[in-house]
Amino acid sequence: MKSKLIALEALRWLAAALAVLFILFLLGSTPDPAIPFETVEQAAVSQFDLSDVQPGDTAMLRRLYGLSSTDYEGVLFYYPASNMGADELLVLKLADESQSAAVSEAISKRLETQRDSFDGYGAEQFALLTDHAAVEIRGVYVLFAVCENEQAVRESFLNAL
Amino acid sequence: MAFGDLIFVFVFLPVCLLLYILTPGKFSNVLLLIFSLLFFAWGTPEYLVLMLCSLAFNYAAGREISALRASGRRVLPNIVLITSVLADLALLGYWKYAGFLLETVNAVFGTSFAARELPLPVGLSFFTFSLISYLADIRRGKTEGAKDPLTFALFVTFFPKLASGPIVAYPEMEEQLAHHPFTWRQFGAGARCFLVGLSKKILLANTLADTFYTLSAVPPEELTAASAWLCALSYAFMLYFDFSGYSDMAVGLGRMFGFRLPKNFDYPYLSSSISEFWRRWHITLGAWFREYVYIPLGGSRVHPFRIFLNLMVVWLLTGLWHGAGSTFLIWGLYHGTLVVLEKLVLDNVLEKIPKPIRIAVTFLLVVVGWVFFFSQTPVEALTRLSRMFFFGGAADGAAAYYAFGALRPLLLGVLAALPLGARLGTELARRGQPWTLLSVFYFAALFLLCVAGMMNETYSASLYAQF
Repeated sequence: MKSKLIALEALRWLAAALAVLFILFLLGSTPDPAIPFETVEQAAVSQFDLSDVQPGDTAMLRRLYGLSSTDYEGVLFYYPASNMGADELLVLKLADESQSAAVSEAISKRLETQRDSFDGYGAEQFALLTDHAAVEIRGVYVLFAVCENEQAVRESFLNAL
Repeated sequence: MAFGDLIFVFVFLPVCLLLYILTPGKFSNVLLLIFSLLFFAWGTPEYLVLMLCSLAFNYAAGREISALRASGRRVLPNIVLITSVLADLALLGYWKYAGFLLETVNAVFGTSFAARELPLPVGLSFFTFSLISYLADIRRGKTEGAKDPLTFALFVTFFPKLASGPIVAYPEMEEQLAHHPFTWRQFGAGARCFLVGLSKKILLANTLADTFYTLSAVPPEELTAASAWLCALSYAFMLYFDFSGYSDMAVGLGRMFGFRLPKNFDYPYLSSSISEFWRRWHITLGAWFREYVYIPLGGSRVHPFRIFLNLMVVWLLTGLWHGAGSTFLIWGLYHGTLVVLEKLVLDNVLEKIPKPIRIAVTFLLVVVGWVFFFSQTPVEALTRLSRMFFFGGAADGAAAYYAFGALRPLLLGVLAALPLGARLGTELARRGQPWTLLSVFYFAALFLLCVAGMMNETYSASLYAQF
């Protein structure tokens, strides 16, 4: 009986210690939420060619992503200027990280919808969406970019964090 | 992953069901546990480590409390219970309240601490409450707890109830966890329930969401009375159909796998008092607070002042459970005050008022409460309320435009918030064969409409999943 209780108590402490270590590890890999949104959005825009996109408003963000712009601290959103365009840029600063799962899923669905739209119809756009889509969620900062030089946009975004 | 996602409906659920039907009974819990952990880890796989730690911690605590209690010890089980509950609350507190606490500290002391927040693990508020009730029930001798760690893990993570409840106590599920055979009859009943829930979410909540999110983006000071009411009413029905839809889906999914989960809603907008509203809205959360907070504090068998205090503590915690923010606190205290007034002051007066008037007044009070619930700040909520009560224009062209668009879903919403559909279903089932066939076509049509809606929607998570 006594040894069983000691084993159970040890398991309890071990599990608690592991959980704390794991949270510390997660925290260590998260960027500082105090970085101004302007810094991050400028970093992303500086590498993104805006000639094929147009700025999106609240209604368009809701329509294309199912997201409400009032839920976030910062929103920068450009969507294709024509029906045959696939370039897109979305930079968000979340109000808190609990929103990241919903945002991540919304981005995945948007990407999937776009791919489905161009599959077997617009080979160039489909390739762009398949090979040149960048999604980064770091702490409260989110980047979704579809463009030829998505790597440069990604790097610029990450460097700003 | 959410119940309203195409991937859930067309991949996750059919695969899980198929394997469940093919798997021998003794392995069915293992299968459900694997799928439940997969569901939990879908968006944030790294949290699987955290979940496993939490499961190990609470399983050990449960066994320890049970063993200590059986040996007649009195103090040690309490120590294990208290330290374990504190650890569970610390986890919940870190994720949900650290940011709010730091903001408050910064506001009071002029400091500038920044919280490093992490994404909220799926269902954290719901499974933490299940864990606390599990340990408390063992301590109180209502159950010995699960001896098998896999059974315990399934109780906590069972995917139909993981993300948005209902919150189920272990004694309610204990027998079912040992025996939950698949039957086609149960499957049929569960599928119907799931479809009703899916329709509420996709066809009603998501449609009303368009109106609500468009109007909520208008600065509150620019709203007229009509658009402010439209915004608040859209939210009231959207939230109801969203959460009750999810709860119906959870109950339906449970039944498909042979489990009977408790219902979470019972036509709350037909309540004739706020106390009744809370016996009909998010029933399992209200029951949890009553069982594990209100009654241990003394319940109603104490001095009226203590009843007042107990109720306010419960409502403060209810507000906080929904989120770390001053608007949630105000919302909780607002409902607490109304419940206290009903219980201690208006009890005899209310009985004399005709029921339709009581229902209308209760609904009005609930809608006023929702304004605090969905506003970002108390000032915003007060501005919205002032607009609703004509401290601005009565109506404008924009309000008429949105009202026209929202009229159909709102009317459908009002009809669907009444028990007409359920009564019709019961009546059809009672009448036998040709009507049963008609109901099959009805559910098939609902499913097709839902699929069309799901293909248009980008994301269908429950609003309550964020709590």
